[in-house]
Amino acid sequence: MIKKSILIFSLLALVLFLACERDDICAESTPTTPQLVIQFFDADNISDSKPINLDLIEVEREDTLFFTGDTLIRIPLKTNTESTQFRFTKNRGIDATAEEPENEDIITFNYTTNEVYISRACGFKVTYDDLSLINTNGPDGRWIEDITINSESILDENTTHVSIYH
Amino acid sequence: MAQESGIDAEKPLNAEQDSLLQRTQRYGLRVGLDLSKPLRSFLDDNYTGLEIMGDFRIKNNYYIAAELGNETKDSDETNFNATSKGSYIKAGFNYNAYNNWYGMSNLIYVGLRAGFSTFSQELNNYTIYTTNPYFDEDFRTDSREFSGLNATWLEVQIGMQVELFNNLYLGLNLQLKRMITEKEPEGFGNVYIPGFNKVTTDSPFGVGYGYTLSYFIPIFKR
Repeated sequence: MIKKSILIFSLLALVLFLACERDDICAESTPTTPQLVIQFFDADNISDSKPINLDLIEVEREDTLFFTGDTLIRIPLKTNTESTQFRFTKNRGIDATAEEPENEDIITFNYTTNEVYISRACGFKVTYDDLSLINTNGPDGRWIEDITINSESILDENTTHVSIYH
Repeated sequence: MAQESGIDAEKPLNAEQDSLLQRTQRYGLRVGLDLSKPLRSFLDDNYTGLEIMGDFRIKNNYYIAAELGNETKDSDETNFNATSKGSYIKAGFNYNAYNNWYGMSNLIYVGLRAGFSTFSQELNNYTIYTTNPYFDEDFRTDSREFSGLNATWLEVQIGMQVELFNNLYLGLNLQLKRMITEKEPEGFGNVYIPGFNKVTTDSPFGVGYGYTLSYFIPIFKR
């Protein structure tokens, strides 16, 4: 009887041990705050993707997000305000005589935010709704020929939210 | 020590002799305290708790048993900090599987409990989880209280009660719990439920333990 009890005790102690610290790390596969998914297309042939070299700087910051030869990018939106403004600079450093020289457009993304609880390990995320945007060209004119919103709700990163034609 | 050996069964004994020779067992109420909770309250800044327990022997090997407690626990998670506060009651029975020598009343038992907890959770602060670190951390301190929460669960206990001396018992038990119902706060989750303990993501199971010091009040013998 005592031997049996010791066995049962050890088993239960093991269960107790395994149950601890099991869910303290937010798994990478867990959908958290989604980024804005932008896809780039050829303005002359709108069904074709067109790669781009792009530098992105949020207007209040100094650090740059670099994208080289991409047709699809993911960019973060601010979670604590309802607007994020990015400088989209195409072909930085390419001088004005080239066919596609450096050119900056400023896009303002406006949206509403929703706070969602995920889990103990991941905490909270923000999803976005009612996405709208304003494209302001700089003094160098526009490089973005057309920009469309595919999805006003940004709930995950599985769909393209915005398409840019250039 | 009364021994039955040598008694001729064919000759009925008179009532007085009978009571002397019968192996009487003591029945009564055992009341006590879970020592681990005040100890943990003293050692762990994030925890305060108290639990009283009691059992009452109803049959040779069966005891009805209950625990009553109150806990406050700060859960300091990676992405948020919350405080759970509330009371619980657990009621059920213990089955003693230990064969005592005559005159002893130790227990090695298996117990079953139904647990009910009523509690509140306060979200003290939290950070919005993002995968891209480009923007500064969105750390929010607008604390929010979620009250009127409750949970029910079933619990299996394995434990022992050893008589130290003169009706004073020291006990140890391990608890495995399974959630049955849970009222979750809107826009948040249950992180810690008093009595049920830590709530694990996507799992209905909980675990616990207790170290009890209890006193047995004999009420009758039979």
